[in-house]
Amino acid sequence: MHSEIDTLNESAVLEQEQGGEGNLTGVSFRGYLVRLFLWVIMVLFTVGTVGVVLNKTTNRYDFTEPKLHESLTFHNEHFDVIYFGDSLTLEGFNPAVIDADLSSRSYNFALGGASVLESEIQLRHFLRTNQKPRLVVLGIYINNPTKPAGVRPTLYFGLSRDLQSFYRDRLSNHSGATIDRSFIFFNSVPAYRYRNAIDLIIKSAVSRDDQRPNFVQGQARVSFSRQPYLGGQHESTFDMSELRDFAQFCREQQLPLLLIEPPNHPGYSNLTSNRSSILREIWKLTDLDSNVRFLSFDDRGDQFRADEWVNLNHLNEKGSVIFSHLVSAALEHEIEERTLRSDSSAKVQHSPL
Amino acid sequence: MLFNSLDFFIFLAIVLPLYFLLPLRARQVLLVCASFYFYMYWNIRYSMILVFFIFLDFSAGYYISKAPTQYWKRVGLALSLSCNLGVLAIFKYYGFFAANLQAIGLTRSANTLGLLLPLGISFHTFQTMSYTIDVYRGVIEPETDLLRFALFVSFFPQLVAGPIERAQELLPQLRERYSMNWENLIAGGSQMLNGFVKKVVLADNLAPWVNQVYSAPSRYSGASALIATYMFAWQIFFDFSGYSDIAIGIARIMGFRFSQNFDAPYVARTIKEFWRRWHISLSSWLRDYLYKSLGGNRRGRVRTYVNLLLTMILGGLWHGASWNFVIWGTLHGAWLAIERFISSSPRRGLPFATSARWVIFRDTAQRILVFHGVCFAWIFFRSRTLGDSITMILRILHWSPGDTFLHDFGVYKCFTIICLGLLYFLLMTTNQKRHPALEWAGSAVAILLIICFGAESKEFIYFAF
Repeated sequence: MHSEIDTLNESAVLEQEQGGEGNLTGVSFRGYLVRLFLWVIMVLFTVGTVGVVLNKTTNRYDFTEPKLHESLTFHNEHFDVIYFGDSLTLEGFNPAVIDADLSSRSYNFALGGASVLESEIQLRHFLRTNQKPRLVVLGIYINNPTKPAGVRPTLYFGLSRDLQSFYRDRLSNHSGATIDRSFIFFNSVPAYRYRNAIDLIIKSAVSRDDQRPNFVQGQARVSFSRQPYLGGQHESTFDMSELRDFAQFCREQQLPLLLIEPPNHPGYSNLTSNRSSILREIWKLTDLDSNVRFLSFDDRGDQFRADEWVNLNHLNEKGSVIFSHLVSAALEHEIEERTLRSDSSAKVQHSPL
Repeated sequence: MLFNSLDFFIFLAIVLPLYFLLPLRARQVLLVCASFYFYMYWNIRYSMILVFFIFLDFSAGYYISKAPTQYWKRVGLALSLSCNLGVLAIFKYYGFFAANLQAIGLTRSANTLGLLLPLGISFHTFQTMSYTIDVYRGVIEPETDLLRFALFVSFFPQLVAGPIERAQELLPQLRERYSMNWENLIAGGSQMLNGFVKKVVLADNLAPWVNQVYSAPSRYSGASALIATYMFAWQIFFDFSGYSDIAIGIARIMGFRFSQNFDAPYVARTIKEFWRRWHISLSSWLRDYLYKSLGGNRRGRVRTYVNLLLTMILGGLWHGASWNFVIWGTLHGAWLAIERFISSSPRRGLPFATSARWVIFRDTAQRILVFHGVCFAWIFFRSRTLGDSITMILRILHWSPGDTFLHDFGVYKCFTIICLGLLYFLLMTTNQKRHPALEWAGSAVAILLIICFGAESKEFIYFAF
């Protein structure tokens, strides 16, 4: 049955007998080392060159890298409102529109595929070197069928040592991504760390639309629109424990927290099998913690035309303007109410923010 | 410890230089210690099972060779096999049988023992069993050195997922002291690199799509179900042959020659040929120690077909304790039997059957048929339950195109990566003259592919068996 294998083994043994033990090619041990050294140099040079090219390309194509760099380097800034969340928040919350409506100053910290834990890390880092905002808004994607994107090396390496350690510990309590020796080692190789740029180049090449967003105050403004596909029934991967931790941190810091669910495509929420149980948990959280409020725009999906979405559940530049006006109205009401509770005179004398 | 982890590279960076520096006896001690560390990295307590196998089969081999009569030799063999299979049964099959006994009403509750399946237990059980059977058959002399035998059982490159090496091949090599050799370094290193490309670039990039569909087949259309099945066929090939390449490559660097485990299985024109090319170390084990023990083809035609069927059913069960694996094995066994029946029947040649075009057409059609038959069987192998397998088949039969699976950009990225990986292997295969410049460039390309397109570290599929 295995005559080929037998032949292979025979030839291997023969080869070994003929000199597999010694200097088969007449190369000395020093010669081996020189060859090995040259090979290592060649590989390092190739990998290094590709790394440099990918690093340059990343800044041009990557959704989040330039934005992450900007958001990590804020110093002594004061924002009235800061927004955290994933790609729905990143594309849907337009700080410029909200600021114009409320005469405020705000910034969108959201990152594509970010987990609530990642948002908390961003908030913790921001508070280290900047003033407290008056309101923290966390955009939550309750229907999210996919797991968070994992640990972003630029975020991790941009943190102080104690925050890095905190991040590692918190991740070890959650399933999925981990920060271990492998993560740190491989991400110190630029060709590995910036390899996401290859995805984006391919995406840009195969798509007729310009995939590169325009970043303004942290918001990713995307101009194109594509037909969405709703898919079938699915289970949400939303992690309630991370949300509880986020809320607890805001309470400890005395930062008012507003949870906002951006609009979903009409009918999409019905496909999330565990949506009602997640909503129950969120309402329970707001009942127990007066610092947290929850607003859902899920039922507003039908207010948006087909050309106001990028794709499934993500608003494009046009859609984000409409949605941000809705958010402004909600924020105004929210701030008024919270300000009234804490200092009623402030509301009379000043604008809400 | 996973081959595709940084920890393994640190482990290798310590073990390899020490291996080449030490004298033979110290090398054996080093490799046994390293192998146990490699295994204990997963579970310290379960390494005791390895110790048990070592002492059991070392003693059994010795006893069988010294037993005064054939009867006592047979008793020794039976005891050894019972213990080996007993351990396997407790850890791997107890829960399955308990659940099935409950299902047919023979027991009231299916109490599982709650045991974790020891990593690679099926592989090292088969390896040690082949040793005692070979000693009993007089094929080999029993190993008299416990340390060497311990290394034969626990040698880390093939410990958890093979190749299942025969004692007559591996034990003599363990007696040799191989010095560092440029040829071995190049050949072993290249094979390791190829293995990593197969595993992290090809198999691990296919895995998310396969998992997505196979975790909830009812949510996907026939088109997605079919593509996911094709993808799984390639995922399992790249995953397992990648593991084998890495294992063979590491051993080669140290001077050992392992048998090749895969030989382009999807170009097979018959299912018999497929099994000569797929997981060769297992298929040859099943042939030599199970099929032949059952009587092989020596007891008439009907008995040959029954033996083929039984061998493959047990081969299916070897992979895992579930009805899906039984069906997978049955499909392969039945196909082998049918093929044997057809090939042994007298055939009348067609007048045009010798023309070159006809031969090409026939070979291509046969290859397509075999590949699709194997893919059909993979549905049972990959599905979580029998119900899921049937859903997958029904989805493919009730064809409907288009759903999220094909709308996702990621799937195009996946296809791009597969094309790049295959291009790499095509270039490497065509470089038959092994031109040094191309070899060097090839290795650099392989490393770049791994760095730029390698998916996150995932366990090898065959670790579960």
